[in-house]
Order: sequence, then structure tokens, then C-alpha cells
Amino acid sequence: MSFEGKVVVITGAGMPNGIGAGIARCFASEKARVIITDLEGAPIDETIASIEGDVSSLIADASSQKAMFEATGQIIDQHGRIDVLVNNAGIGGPRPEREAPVEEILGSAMSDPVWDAQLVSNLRTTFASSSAVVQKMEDGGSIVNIASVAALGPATGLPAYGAAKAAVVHLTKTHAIQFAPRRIRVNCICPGLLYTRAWEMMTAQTKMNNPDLADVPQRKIFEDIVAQSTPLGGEQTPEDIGNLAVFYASDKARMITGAVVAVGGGMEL
Amino acid sequence: MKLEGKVAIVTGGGQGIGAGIVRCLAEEGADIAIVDLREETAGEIVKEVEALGRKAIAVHADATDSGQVTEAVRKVVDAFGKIDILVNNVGGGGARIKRTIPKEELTGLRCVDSEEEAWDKIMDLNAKSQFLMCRAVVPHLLKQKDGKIVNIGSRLARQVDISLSIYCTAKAAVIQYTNHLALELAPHGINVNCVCPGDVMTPNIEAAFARVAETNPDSKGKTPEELFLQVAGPRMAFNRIQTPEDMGRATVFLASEDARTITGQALYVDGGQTFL
Repeated sequence: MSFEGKVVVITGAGMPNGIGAGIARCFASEKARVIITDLEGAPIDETIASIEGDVSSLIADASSQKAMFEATGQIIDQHGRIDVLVNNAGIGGPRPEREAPVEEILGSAMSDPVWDAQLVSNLRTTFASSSAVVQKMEDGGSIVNIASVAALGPATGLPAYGAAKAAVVHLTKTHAIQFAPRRIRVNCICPGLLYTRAWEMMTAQTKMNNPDLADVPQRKIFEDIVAQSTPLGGEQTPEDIGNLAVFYASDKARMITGAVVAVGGGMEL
Repeated sequence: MKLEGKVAIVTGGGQGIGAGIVRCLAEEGADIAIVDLREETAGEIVKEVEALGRKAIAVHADATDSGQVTEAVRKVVDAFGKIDILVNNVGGGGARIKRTIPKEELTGLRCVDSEEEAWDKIMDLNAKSQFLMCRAVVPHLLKQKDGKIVNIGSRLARQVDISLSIYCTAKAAVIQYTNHLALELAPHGINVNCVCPGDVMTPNIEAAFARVAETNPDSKGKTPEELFLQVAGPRMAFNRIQTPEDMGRATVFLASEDARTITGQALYVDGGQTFL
């Protein structure tokens, strides 16, 4: 399943312990040339240093078509082609969704700007980056959208995050048909529970809201949630997500497009 | 190789999609037990697998008969000592429904104008066969607290085709059985998933198109590939011949450790057919 000579772009992959970095490791180990993008200020150099293989970086806002058109141009100038785009950029639900409520209504309080920010970071990113990159996928290609198990059912406490990710699932199907004449396949992964920055933030918040948990380590809070909600047991690793991304992008999946698969140990069942 | 040292049962592995799945599993290092009614074709696939350097046996059994299923699984365990992977591929019966009890007022209403026997047969072949195989194989997977089950569904599990209503209903049952089995077996370290094929160019389909080319004046001189694309092409997002091996590669992925935290999923391998 070698990706030798193939160019893979992964958005929002600047965090060393993030899903994007895991996806980058999986593609790099298949000999792909990997370009990871993130916003200014992300520890992207540290992430690159942690990955073996042909990995480089680019600062670009995945939610901006203009920025992604420019990034695509740079990548084509430098590497000549783009074969795979992984729309991984997004932000975790918890903290921003809680900010500045207008009025608390059944726990769904959220200001308009916070709602908009969630939709921009978790949904527009996928649209903007795909729109920019498909223009330059001249030899066919593969797009892998990272949604969430939160897309597959009610996302209590995370209405904007859940709605945005559900829309990513839907956009996957639209783009699958829309891009098919260009031999570009579009598929979606719904990750379950991984201890990335989003869950560090979420468990910190849980501790703040529950004085009883003051002495409980954040990691322990996360592990308890995993134990309660994952039938197969255990959390997901970034590589679990990366393995499916590599399969989707490979010729082995040449007839798979518009597919949506949860990598969550059965937690949505 | 992703499946070295694993033992896989493939029902209906002697032909069609099943044979493609067998080839792909064997290429990744699995030893194979084909459970099939047709000994001759199964024997040929066994030879192919052996040529790849893997072990293979063909066990003659009807997957809709509980006694034969029990006996077949016993033979597999006798031969290999264990089972790691079960692929429930047996199915079909979608195309022909006999109508021997014509009811005037139901003429043209294909969901209700079918023989009771047709309903039972199609349900047995597509849904009950999976239940019977799982019932016989799961005890062996429980012993090692590890295992992978891949059920073969169909694009028709979620699409409506009134002329194939019973088959579609049976394939939808496969999805729900997959979900329930996945949830129940998850605490035991067993993954259960489903591959849903679209239209596939099997040798039988190829032969059928070849006959069409001979007998139908409109199709005269056309190759089976051309006819496949003419029929299935407009239903797919890609103008490509879909092969049994496309199903085999998806099955290998779901049966491998790469999919260790994937369970209860239906992976559609249909060239986008389900959306058109």
C-alpha cells in the first residue's frame, strides 16, 4: 500500500498529540510526502520533528478559501501535485460553546458568535479546503473528512459541534457525487474518544464544574468516560484514525466513495 | 501481510464475490476454509489459495441448515484448531421470484404478489444463514477473546428496488444483525462489521452479459465489460468495473488489526451507487 510519489495534505495537524499528527505518521510510514497545515502559533515544528519520514509544514487557515487557494498554489509549485486531502482541522466543543450565554435555556446557552465560530472551525474548514484543493487534483484523488461520533446522534452539551460534524457527514456525500467525474473520492471518518487537546479542555472544565472531582486527575476522568461509553473497551489512538484514512486513500478503496465509518469501538450503537 | 497466522471461514467462498474475498484474505496471509454447496468450484479456489502458500479446505454445507452448519464448523476446527475470522458471504436470490399464485387484484404489486416460499427462501439465504454461522462460530471466538466477523450486506440494504423487495428487506436485516452482534460481542473483544457491495462483475454476471451479447440484437458485438458499464455505469459515480476483489480488500481491512476499534459499521463499496 505504498504512497511513494504521492502528496498528502492534512489540515490542522499541528498538535503533536492530535489526530492529524497520527494520520500524518500513518501516511509517512507508507512513504507519502506529507504536508501538514495549521494556524499561526500551533506547535507545528515540534509536530514535524516528532514524525519520521517526508513531512513538511505550511501555515494556512483551513477555514479560508483564499488562504487555502494560496496554500494549494504553494504546494503545487513546490511538490507538483496533490493526491490526498485530509480535512482534519477543527476545534473541540467544550469551552467556547459555554462562553457568553445570552440566557441559560435548558443548558443550550450559546452566544451567536460562539455558534458561528464552531461552524466555521468544524464545517467551513472542510468546504473551504476541499474547494481549493480539488481544483488542483488533476490526476484523480482522495479526500478524507474527519467528523466525529458526535455527528451520528445527539451531542448533548455540544449542539454546535454536533451540528457542524453532522454537516461534515452530509457534505461528504454531496462532494462524493460532485467530484466523482474528476475521479476524486470523498469519504468520512467519525472518530470516537481520543485524549487530545479537546478532551484536555473538556476534562479541565468538568473539574471546574464539579468540586467533588478536584483531586481526580484529568486523565482519570477521561478514562472513566471511555470505560462507560465504549463497548469494545479502550480509547482510540490517532493511528486508529490514520489507518482508516490510509485505507480510504489507497487504491484498495478505489470503489469506495461517500462512505461514513465510525472508529469509536461501537460507542454510537 | 496483515492476516498472517489467521484462520478465516468464508461462506459461499467458492464463487463470485466470495471467491474474491477468499483471494484477498489469502494474499494477506490467512488460511482459508470455504463453506460452500458447490464442491467443484470450491475445489478450484482451494487450489488457488494453496498456490499462494496458504492452507485451504472446502467444506460442503448448506449455510441455511443448522445441522450442516454445526458439522461444517466442527470440521474447520478439526482441520485448523481455531477460527479467527468469519465472513458471512452466502446470499442472493434477489433476481427471480416465482409467482405461481396469481391474484388478480395484486397484479403489478410486487411487494405483496410473491409466494410465501420465496420470502422464506430469501430470508433464510441472506439473513438466517448469518445467524446460524455466527451461532456455531462465536463460541470459538469467545475462547480466544478475539475475532472478526464480516457480514456481507448489499447497497440494497438502504436503497429501494420494488422488484427486489424481499431481498432488500433481508439485506437490511443483515445491517441490524451486525449492529446487535457488534454491541453484544464488543466486551469479548470481537469486532462485527458489514461490507455492502454495489453491482459487481462476477464470473456469473460476465457469462450472463456474454449470453445477452449473443442473443440480443441491440447488444450484438458488445463485450461483457461494455454491457456492465451500460447497465451499472449510470448507477455509479465512477465508470468502472467493480470486482469481487474490491469487496475482498474492504473485508481484509475490517478483518485486520488496522480496524481494531471499528465495530458495528456498514462499509458501502459501491462506487457511490447508493447516492444516485
